[in-house]
Amino acid sequence: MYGNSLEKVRTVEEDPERLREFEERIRRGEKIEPGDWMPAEYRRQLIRMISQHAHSEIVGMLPEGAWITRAPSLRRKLILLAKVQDEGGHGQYLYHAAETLGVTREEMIDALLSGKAKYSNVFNYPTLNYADVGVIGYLVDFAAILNQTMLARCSYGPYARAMVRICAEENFHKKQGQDLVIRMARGTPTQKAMVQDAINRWWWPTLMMFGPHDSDSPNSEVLIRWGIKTKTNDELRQAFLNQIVPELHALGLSVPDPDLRYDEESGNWIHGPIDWDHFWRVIKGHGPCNHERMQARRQAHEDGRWVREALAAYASRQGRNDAGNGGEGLAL
Amino acid sequence: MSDTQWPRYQVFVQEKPGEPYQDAGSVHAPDAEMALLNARDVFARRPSVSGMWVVPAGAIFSRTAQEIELQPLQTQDDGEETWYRVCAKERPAGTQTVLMRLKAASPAAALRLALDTYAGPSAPYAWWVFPESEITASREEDVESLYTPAEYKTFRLSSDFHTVTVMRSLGKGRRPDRVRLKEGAGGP
Repeated sequence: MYGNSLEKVRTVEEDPERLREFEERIRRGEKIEPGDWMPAEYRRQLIRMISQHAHSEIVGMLPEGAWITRAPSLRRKLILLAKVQDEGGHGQYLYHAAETLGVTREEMIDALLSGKAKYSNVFNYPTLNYADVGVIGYLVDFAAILNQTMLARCSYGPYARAMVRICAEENFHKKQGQDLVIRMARGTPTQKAMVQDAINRWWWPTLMMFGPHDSDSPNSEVLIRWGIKTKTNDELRQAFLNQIVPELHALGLSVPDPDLRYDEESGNWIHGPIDWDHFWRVIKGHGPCNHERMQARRQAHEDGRWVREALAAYASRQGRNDAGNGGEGLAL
Repeated sequence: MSDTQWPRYQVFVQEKPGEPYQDAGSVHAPDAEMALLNARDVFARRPSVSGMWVVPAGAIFSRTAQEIELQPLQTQDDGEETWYRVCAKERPAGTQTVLMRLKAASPAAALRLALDTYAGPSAPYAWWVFPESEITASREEDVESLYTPAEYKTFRLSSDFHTVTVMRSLGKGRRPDRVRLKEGAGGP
């Protein structure tokens, strides 16, 4: 659940002395805080990444949320409710982190609802049955954790702190999914077939979550130099494969990649070619659920309007709508 | 019409009685009362919370160490003194933590005083100052209904799932259908 660096880095003329000091601070492992000087491009990249990450959390509530009413037991229902509620909370942490850079929540939400903003591509695929809840937790959330553990060391203080909080909670998401996958893998033949089918469908979208190969990620270099990222897309994807492939095999499950092989020399699992044309088609709005997801978000925004109006009316009647806005430059 | 851009409130959380309040993040709300309720949903889904404050973001005077260095604090005002709370971020990856309560004539004067009397190991990286009067705090009698229920929701803690143990025994070559899972309050 995160924003990829798909947009080219713009070069803006910066005061070389300030830039040098800034990069020196990052090398010392200091966190950049909202009031501090930062290159315009650092701010722009962060706003883009964090807001995209926030949108992903919010849209990410939809695929699994659809199964809350059809959970197989009360315990699974409580778990799924808690998980989906967490995703909503994560979206809030992240919108907050982005706001510290001077963008408003309204601008971000408008960008999402108008279709201008991107969110993680993985949520443009359908959830067909309850095995998907297990596999999303196990594969998708694990992929997200790898990325987010990296971002918890990000040089921008508010983003890093949001990530620390999110990673702790996301671990529950992964483990509840893994727990469900384990139970299905050792269940009836039908359950085992269901969970294998879900893995087959989610495998490639999950591998694509890490973004294009390093050779096609022109931004990685500057994002790493500025401490926004500390690992490349391919490094994260490799860490994912090396952990998850042996686990799936141990569970008697297979990976839908005929070219998957273990490389003795490097100790790495090597995946077959990824269909990037498919990836770009989905990003450009032609995935199986892009339209449905955006419709659901717009509908939710409209359906909540009366609540927002009622709360605003209550506040103004109580004469307490005086808190004022602003505070964007807080050194959080 | 800006129907999503309510005022922003900074949220401070105390994890256990007696511990300092720490910055958790922010929420938007039409008033402080709703801000406290939103803050509970966003920041108290898990144990443990013993108290929360919300402070209008606009009421917080904030300076990073870099800002203080580049632009000295303007503290020549001599108005009436009121109580301020001062927070600092003491470690590079740290969180704003409420450290002091002091009387001053302005936020800048309160920060000047805090800088002069700060006795921590190294100079903080960033400061926040706000008047005590701007705090809306959770009430003692609401703690049980607002924050205690999270303590019983053990199913939302990763420690409730024993997947690491299971995977380890599978790694020893045992067949998945022979590994005993700890049954929680119910199977799949």
